[in-house]
Amino acid sequence: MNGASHIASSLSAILPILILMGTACVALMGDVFIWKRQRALTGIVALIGSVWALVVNLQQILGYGSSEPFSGSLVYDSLSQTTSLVLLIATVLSVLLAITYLRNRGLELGEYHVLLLFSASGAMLMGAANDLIMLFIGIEVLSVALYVLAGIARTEERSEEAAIKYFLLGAFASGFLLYGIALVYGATGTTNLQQINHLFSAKASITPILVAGIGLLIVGLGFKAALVPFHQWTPDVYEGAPTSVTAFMAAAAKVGAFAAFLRIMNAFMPVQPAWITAIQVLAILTMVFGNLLAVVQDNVKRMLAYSSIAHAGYVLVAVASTGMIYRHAVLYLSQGDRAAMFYLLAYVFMTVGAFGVLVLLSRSGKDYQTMNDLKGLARTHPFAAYTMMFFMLSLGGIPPTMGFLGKWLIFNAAISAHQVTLAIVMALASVVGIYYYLRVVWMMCFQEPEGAPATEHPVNDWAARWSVIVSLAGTLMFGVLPALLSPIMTGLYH
Amino acid sequence: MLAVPTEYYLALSAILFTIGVIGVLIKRNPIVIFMCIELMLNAVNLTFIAFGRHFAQINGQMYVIFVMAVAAAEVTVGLGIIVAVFRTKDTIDVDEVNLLKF
Amino acid sequence: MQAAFFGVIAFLSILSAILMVMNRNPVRSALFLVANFALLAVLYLTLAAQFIAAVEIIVYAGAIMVLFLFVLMLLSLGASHALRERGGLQPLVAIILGLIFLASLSAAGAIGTLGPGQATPQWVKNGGTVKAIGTALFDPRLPWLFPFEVTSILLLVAVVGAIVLAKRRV
Repeated sequence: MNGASHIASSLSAILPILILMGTACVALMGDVFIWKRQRALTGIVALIGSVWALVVNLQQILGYGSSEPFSGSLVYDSLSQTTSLVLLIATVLSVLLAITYLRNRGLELGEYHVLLLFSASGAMLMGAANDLIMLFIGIEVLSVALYVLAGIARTEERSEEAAIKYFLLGAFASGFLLYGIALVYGATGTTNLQQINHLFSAKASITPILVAGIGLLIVGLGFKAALVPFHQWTPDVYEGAPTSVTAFMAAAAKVGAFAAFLRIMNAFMPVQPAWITAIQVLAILTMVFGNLLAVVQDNVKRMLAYSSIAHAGYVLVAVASTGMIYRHAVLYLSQGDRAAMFYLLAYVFMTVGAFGVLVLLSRSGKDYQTMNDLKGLARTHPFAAYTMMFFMLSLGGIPPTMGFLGKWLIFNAAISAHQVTLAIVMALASVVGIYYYLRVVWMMCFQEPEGAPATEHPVNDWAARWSVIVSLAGTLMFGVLPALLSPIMTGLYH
Repeated sequence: MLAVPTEYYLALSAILFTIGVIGVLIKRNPIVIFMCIELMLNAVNLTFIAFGRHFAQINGQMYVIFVMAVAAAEVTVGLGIIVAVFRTKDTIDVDEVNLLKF
Repeated sequence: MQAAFFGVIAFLSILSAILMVMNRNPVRSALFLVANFALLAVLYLTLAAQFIAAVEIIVYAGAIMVLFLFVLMLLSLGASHALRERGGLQPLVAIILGLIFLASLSAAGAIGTLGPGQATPQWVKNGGTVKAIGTALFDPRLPWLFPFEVTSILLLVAVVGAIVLAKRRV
């Protein structure tokens, strides 16, 4: 293949990412020329761009292609396409939330959407990375934009504190990740994940330097994915950041980190004994402590933060049961990968939806924060309360929701990969989880509202409403009829 | 040919990285914590270049170029955040940035 | 001879790193870090990375550290604002954790089956020149071109972010 046609085919393979980046640039330039009152226009541009990218991404998935764009820096296969799909859904929902939230809180900055789109494109690059250094740059694009987004409410102390905490720990984690990359390079002589896989498939030699490298990679990614014991930043950052940012952060950063986990662990599949124990221990710690600490929280955002930690533990169970299969030179995802991607999609719908309800309830100068704020919500804000109820049931893993089905798939994958201990711990941890999700439902539906209802100005919140409705539709529809996903997640359902 | 074996460079870089980690854990001033993180990144750069020479590949030096670009981006945003914190709180004495909190 | 030279530089760089961490005045810490970067640049020269050595001085010791000092001066966080360091158990715990980390790493490195280095005199002469780096970076057959392009996005994000955070209240 000559140079020009290779570049052309490479560009078409990453078209969704290019559309996102291009839209961000257009929004950045256009924002300068918009009057302040019409700032929502930037959000609309971002929305159009991300929906367009989503459509192109769906076309690509239905085209069943696979290639290695840009001389092996990226790989374009079912895993990267599905990751992009999940991330783009999260982006569309978050942009919708942001349009309402920014207006409610008087934070209408066009740069918000620009950074959000760049951040999403970074996460998509992580899912498509075929080289560890490409993965690192993807993580940095994702994180640098998120650091700024966390601190975008410049006049609020808590937002700035969240930003600096997230930034320092994120940069610290990047250092570990990078050291891991360096040691893996030293152990193998390459950072190309496919070459690493071929190398170890030919001769699985576990050297100490390799073990140290993989360990540091897991620590670095563990910080980004908020696994116990690298989770301490999560509740503070989730609580302090503006709610619409938290929704995106919880969804995109986690999906990106787990896409990276799946890529790396699949590359190191031939040397599985070198890392499987670490993943198992992390998964158990994350599930147990995530759920136990969520029980004692009184702040809804903190509770959701610990619940997102617990959910990271469930996905990690799927990572522990992973293993891609090459059949006739075509990549098929193993049961573990499929379960992980399905669960991540469910997680995006549930989490963005739950934070979306909090966005709906946000009024100028005030966020709904504590459990007491939620008391009697069914009477004062029935739409918010009943949608929140479904998200809580789904997060708790109660049928017929997507959350239940995702847990079921991961459980099965773990059993068939002989990870019985993990499967049992997961089942027990989920039972604990149900308690605090149902507590929210109880507060909303069976408690009297506290204090006099505040007089609220009617606000135009169509955007956040649509986001919540779409999340709810996804949670229920794919929970009842998962087969609807099969033409889309073909690589996942073979 | 090589008078100094690669292992020596690796050991030096491990020591520098560890000093950086200890610094991050014990310092309170976010700017100094951030400097310690820069030290960690530089230690990693040394590892990359040492391995690059070991394998006689250009790769090691390529990674360092990317790491430097990333470090520059992080510094820009990080110092921006620190200035913003200073504006809202009039101090950067952030006790909340307590990395060893259990 | 080379080993002795390496020993001196390595000792000085460890010393400057320790002094950076120990010092209470952030401005002095920054200066020790600059010294550390300069010493690392010397080590890069011994590793046949001429271009990187120059960039280390220009970008790290020049641009990045000046930015650090600029912020320190802007917020006037010099000697008078030297923060009280954490007392009690925490530094001890941190140092013990660090030593465990170092011990495990050095154990990994020492037993590491690295084998003999593959660098030929020819490679040492031409390996890290501007020409070698440039041709590798922009060769579409090598996997560096695309990450390089993405770096521009990263820098754009950083610029936008810094302006968003630092500009006056709207």
